[in-house]
Amino acid sequence: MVFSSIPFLYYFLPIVLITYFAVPRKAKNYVLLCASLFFYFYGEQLLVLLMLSSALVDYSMARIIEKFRDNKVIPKIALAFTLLFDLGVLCYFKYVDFFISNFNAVFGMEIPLLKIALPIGISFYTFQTLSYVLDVYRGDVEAQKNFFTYATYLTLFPQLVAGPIVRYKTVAHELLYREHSVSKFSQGVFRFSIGMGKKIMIANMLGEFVNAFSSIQNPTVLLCWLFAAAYSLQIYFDFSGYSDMAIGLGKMFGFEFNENFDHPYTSKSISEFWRRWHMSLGSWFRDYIYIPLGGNRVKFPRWLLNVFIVWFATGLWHGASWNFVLWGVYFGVFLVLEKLFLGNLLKKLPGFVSNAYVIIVVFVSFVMFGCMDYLGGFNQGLQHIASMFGFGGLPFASTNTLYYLRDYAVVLVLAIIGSTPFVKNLANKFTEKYPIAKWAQPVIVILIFLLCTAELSDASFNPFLYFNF
Amino acid sequence: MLKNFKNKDFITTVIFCLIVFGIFIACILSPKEEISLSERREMAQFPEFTWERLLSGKFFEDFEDFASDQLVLREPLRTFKAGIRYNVLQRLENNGIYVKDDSAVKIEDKLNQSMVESNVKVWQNAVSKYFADANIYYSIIPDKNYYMSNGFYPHMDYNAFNGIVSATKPQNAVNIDISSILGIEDFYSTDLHWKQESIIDIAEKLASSMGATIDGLDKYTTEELNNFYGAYYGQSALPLKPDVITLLHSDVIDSAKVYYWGATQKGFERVEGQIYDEQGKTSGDMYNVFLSGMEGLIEIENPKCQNGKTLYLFRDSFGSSIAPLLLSGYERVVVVDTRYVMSNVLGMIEGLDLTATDVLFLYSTTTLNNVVMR
Repeated sequence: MVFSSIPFLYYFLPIVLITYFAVPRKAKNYVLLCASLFFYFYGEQLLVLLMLSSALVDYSMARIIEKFRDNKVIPKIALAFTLLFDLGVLCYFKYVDFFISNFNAVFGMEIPLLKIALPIGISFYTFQTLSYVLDVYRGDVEAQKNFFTYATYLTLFPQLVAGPIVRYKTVAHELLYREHSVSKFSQGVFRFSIGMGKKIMIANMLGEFVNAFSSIQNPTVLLCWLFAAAYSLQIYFDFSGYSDMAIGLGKMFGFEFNENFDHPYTSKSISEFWRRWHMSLGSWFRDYIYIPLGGNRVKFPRWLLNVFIVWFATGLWHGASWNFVLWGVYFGVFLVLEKLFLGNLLKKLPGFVSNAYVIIVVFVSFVMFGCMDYLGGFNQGLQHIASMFGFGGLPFASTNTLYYLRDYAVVLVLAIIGSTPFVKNLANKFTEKYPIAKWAQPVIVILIFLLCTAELSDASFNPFLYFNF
Repeated sequence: MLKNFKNKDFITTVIFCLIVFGIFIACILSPKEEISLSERREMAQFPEFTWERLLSGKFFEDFEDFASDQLVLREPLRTFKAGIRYNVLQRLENNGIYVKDDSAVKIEDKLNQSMVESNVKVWQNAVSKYFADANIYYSIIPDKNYYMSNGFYPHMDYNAFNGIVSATKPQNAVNIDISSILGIEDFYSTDLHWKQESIIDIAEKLASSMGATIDGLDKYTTEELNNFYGAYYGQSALPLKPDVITLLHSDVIDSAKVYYWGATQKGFERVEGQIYDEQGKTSGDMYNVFLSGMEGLIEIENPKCQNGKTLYLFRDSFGSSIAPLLLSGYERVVVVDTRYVMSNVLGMIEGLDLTATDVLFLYSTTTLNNVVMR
């Protein structure tokens, strides 16, 4: 079930909301737990048991770590078991075929692939539960004594399948003592609506072009750039829109999740980009991989290795394929270059030049990111990138290109403006100057729901192809 | 309570609850639609529940379809969505349909080479099996996009399409090119099909190429059917003006004997019918008035003609409206749609005379490019 769907908006959500607010405080977590398990069961059926297994193992190991904190060995064993179990499960479900195909390629074997279906959200909830056990091990947070409370945290449906990766310590107090208010609920509604608008009205629309691109005959340089831009913006609006919906839903139920995106396309360096893009993932890798490895407080060769490990892992986290690994390492290279000399140079350049550099680097990266799904393969991705810079032998533009530019012009402009804080800043200034403008909030909610529901109404559009006869 | 209405957070919360709970209750209580006339399909109903379907996820998949299909006010919302796309977001198409000069046109931009090849090979099989002694012809009906794209809207490579057909067709098949005689004005605005009243010249070109003489315009009278909302009307979801279907009547058409062949438990049997189906005039798709729509095999006898000539017309839906216009040149016209009857079954149908003077394969680019023939 996705948030931007009729079953979620007009069946699941109203039932959960009315049940949640009808029950006493003590029962609210149980309502959320049941709703979250159903939410997961809806999409993954019996794999909900896998998620519950992770919850049970990590809950138990965290309790053991805390109980035997003074022991020198037991907490380490418990942590090791947690890592083995959680990463083992993740590796099996997400990476086993990647390992097999590479093993086959290197050793000339023909071991058949297992073709295991990837449980949705496994990367997110695995990192979430790992962070919990690691934080308990480090003494940053007390272990939760109630399994159901812990399971509520891990399985919480607002952030279960697409983040943000919520640290237990962020919500530990709220799990037991969260407050509800009309103000908070309304903020949640507004945030959810904005996210839904970003996802349905911008991301999905740009996605139509992205999906159609591979069947476009006679591409041009401009069309290749259009694909890179559309895909990069689609990913941003899709992901940040979903994060907004998650944060909004969290607020409705009394939780305050951390922000996950902060207008990354306004960045003036790749370092800055990654401080603004998928912040919950970046901070996870920083806190649990980079810093434990020594971070940048080591000698230069070791630091390079640390950066390589982190960005190799970041790429691999995104997908079990070498294009994702390359995508991650690509960013690692730029981060190293910026640390060495490029960063200082960028600071001296006009802001729009530095921003253009970020846009180009990121757009190229997302071509690599999406090449397997949308361009037909890794080589096609490389060809696409070459074409963007005039090395593909393609013409610059064509009438066909103009069609797509014209078709998506308004959506692209909205996406570009929406990816900056311009609208937010304008709204804040306007509201300061004209307090009555605060009444735009309910109007915007109505408008977004109307527009999005209308888009969703046509999502099942499926005419009998080539008409009854 | 009244004070709360001055609180924007309260108003936002109330509005959200009204929307979400209102639509939830409306979806539960509203009567369920069984058919969508605009999409020409059945609408999903509440899925059957079994534990097996639940655990396999099939129940939820079907529930998604049900929830989407049975969304309250779905049709008005679709129209609203189309309006926003065209007028606010300045999109050029909705659901693959664009509107130009008040005509709705479907974008056909991907050439499915293997599909076209395998479909044209069906012609070869039919000719070699049954019509070795007949005169073989083929004619391709370009889709509306051919006339409207002007190189701007995405379109398939029609030259490549024609090349594939030419390379795969039966060796002795003669091409009758009608693309230059047709124009966008010859098609319905809201539908993919051509207008019967506009294709007399097409029929004349086909007939004369096959050495047949048919009735001219002066032999026909007309009957109009108003409010024809074609296939593209529903797909575009825009408030387009409906078309008028003009039926052509003549002595030949009105005296024709029409037999629809269908499979029964005893084998293939034929029942009498009409050129213009009265039920089709009031059906959800009024184009069904022409030879009753989805029929695989139709035999039409022309008692006004004794020239001993038989035309076998292999066709798609476009053939339904042009077959009556070709009838005057033949004693018998057999209309075959290999989407519904396999060509290699023809020889097994007792009572069907496979003798043919002329065999014409008349298909639109859309059908050959997208629909499996057998």
